Amino acid sequence: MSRFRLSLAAAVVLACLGATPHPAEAGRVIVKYRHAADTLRTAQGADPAARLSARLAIGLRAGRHLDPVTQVLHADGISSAALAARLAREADVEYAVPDQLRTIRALPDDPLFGQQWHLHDAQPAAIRATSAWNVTTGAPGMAVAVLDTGVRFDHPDLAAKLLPGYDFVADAANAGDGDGRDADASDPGDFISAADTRDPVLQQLCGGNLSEQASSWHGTKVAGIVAAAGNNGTGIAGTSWDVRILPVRVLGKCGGFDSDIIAGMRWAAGLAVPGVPDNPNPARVINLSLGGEGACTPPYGDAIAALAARGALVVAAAGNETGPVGVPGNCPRVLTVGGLRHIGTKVGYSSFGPEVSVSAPAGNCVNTSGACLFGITTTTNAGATQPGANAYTDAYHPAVGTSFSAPQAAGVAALMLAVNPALTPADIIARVRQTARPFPVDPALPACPTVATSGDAAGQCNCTPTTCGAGMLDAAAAVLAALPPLPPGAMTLRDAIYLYDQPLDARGDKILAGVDCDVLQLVLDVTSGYTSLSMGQGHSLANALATQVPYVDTIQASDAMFAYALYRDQPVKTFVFNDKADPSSAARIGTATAFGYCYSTKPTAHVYLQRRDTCTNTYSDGRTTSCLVADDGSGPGSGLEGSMTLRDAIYLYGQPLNAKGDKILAGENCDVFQLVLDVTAGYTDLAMAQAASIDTAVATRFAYPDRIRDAAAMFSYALYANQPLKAFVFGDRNNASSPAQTGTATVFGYCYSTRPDARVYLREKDSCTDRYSNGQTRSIAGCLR
Amino acid sequence: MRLPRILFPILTLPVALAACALEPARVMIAFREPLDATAPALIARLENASGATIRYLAPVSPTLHAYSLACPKDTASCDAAIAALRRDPAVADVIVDRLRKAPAARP
Repeated sequence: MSRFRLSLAAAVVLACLGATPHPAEAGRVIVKYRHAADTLRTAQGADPAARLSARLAIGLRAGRHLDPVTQVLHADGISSAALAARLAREADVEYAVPDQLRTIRALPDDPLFGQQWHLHDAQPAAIRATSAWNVTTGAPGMAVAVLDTGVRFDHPDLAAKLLPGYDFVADAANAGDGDGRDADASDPGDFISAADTRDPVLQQLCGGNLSEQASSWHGTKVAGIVAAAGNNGTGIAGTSWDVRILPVRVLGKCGGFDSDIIAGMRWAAGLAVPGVPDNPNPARVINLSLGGEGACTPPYGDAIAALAARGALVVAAAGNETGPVGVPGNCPRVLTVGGLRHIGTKVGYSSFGPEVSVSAPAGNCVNTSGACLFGITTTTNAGATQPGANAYTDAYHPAVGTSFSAPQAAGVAALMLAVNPALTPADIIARVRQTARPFPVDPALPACPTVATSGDAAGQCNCTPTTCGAGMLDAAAAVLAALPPLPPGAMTLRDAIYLYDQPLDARGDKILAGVDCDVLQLVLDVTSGYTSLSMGQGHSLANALATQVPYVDTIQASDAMFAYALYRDQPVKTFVFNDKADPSSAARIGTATAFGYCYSTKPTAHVYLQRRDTCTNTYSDGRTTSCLVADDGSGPGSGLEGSMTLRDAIYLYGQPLNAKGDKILAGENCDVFQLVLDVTAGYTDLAMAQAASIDTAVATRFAYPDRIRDAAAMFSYALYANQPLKAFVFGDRNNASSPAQTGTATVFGYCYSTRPDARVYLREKDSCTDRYSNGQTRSIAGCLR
Repeated sequence: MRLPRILFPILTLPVALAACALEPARVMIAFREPLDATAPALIARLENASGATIRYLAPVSPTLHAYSLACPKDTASCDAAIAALRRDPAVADVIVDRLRKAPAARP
């Protein structure tokens, strides 16, 4: 049986009280009227906006109700803050706060994050990783392989992220590290020294004359874009900053041979390579920021198919030749990534063609001299012929090229796999393409494949789906598209009915009936008078009514809102309020607002209200029938706007209840957030809140008055105000000395929402971690243990 | 001046090797079944069939291995050597092992 209180504490902080009104402004506030007995009627019938408007001489317009006593109000010529401050002073207003547009951001604290324009939202081509991070920053148990020149293991932004890896460069002269294949995937540098230019072995291997060059630290750059440590107060954040990097060295001084690259691909995905120990950390994503001319060869095709069969996706750079895509980007089953300028047109050097799956920022400078304005900021090393200081690329040492587009897509693929590890490589490619944003058009440029031929715009063109892929990579949309579908038969909110101001009188019972509902929930707010409540479950309406159990309490207008749930395996569930057996009771005259929610695996499940006094059945779609006509079983069902459905659920067994810190079960973007709590030892205090952010919710939480003990039955609570964050807090830091708080509880959290990105997580303040339903954990930013 | 006939092959050998080096100096041989790709008997058989000098380089997979292929004459001979290798009953395919690079871009 569930019991719940909806009333939220009034201690909402009013923001920006000193804001100055401006004639052009349009104020928008959320007002909650005081929960007096007559207020609900006022809110429903007497237009409180008009009343306030007349009293305050402000032209208020009524907006939609969030619940019976909470409403959005609009006014022109005044800021939201000023309007909220003005309304909050009124005696019949419990609170008034600006109705602000909110988003929840998991922004990292890395000092160079501001330079990573490609991850933000501002530039047209940026991949919107910051929005994707609201859902996930990657799974720490997942690896992305970077097949490249190796990495600098001592880089502070990579060190903690790197798996051991392997060096597959078989030729010692090309490897430059004194031997062939070995277990050391570090990058000694791919420089060509003066001595190297005279080395006939290296010349023969590299296929031509050699000229001196400094080390590129290419693998270190690519690895940083994939998964540099995020939110560590250092340098940059990777695209999927919680994933691990598997460095696989396949490129030496003059590049890498197909045989080494393919061997490295196989090993990275966990396939056998003779003479090499098995990879204990197979990667789900293999990044290849490398390539060469020619058609895809069978060894590549076979290897990519074998990798796909193991669930490993190959991501490849399109190339920087302003021409056709080479190997391996032109192989089937590869997510091939082209390069964009910051404004979304093809960057001059990027290769293009029908093999490109999607495009992403590759770095462009705009300026022909001086600072490069839109390079890709990433990890690198400052050494020329020896490893030097670990460093970052910048405007004067920029990283540009499709080599740096591909790891963005690899990082996005890792984010997608974090939320849905069941995705196949084909699933990922399809979703990345489906969610890519359309390319913009610069009227000064030709449409690809025709490219501008002169000046600074040489090689540039307006991308098309047959030249630059399906569109611009969108991390946020791709991650949302990756979320797993509901399992077959998942219990879903099928029907809901909202009945305001129902008369409670002595003329007859009112019956809220649910047909085929697995869980039928009643939320009841008696706004005047009182009522008694009975509940029944049976194989028919008559059977449910005949076997109903009277509720022991009488619910008064002065009580907080109550909620109840029925979930026995019976097709018909009923809540009966008022009582025909006691028609003489004048005190029973009053009003109530009732909400009925029907959760079910059956799409036809539905609710209706039967009024015995008028002999009518009222359904959620407004249809009425005679109470003498048996419910036909079809019902309206599935009629909810936006298809609110079970989006996420978390099951936490044996959670310790201790004095070290609060546990917060949080629901993001859940329209209805339900907690089922079973204290199995000891006890806990419980608080609930709904707000724009978790911090605000916790600050304004409303405590449940009773402690929940192990002797109590399993309790259930639900929150459903129109707020993006809903939270249940159990345990209490203010009572940290209480030994009685030690114990255990089992917690179930259910998130029903119209939004596919709605989710739940448990915030454990004692360990400074958030735990998600997919097993992922994430450190809480700024949390002190 | 006429060169002694005996010097002719010596003078032309670097040209032939260079041609071979520019094209299929390295190959990947795909075998039909996993085998010991380093076995001297296997390499000797492949050399006899192709007329090239073959050196084992590295494994790629249980059935795919990299070799260097030094052809004695010219590019056409390399092609002929590869064609001969493909006719070996244990060989499924022979693919040129090309060099790939991290693509460079101008800022």
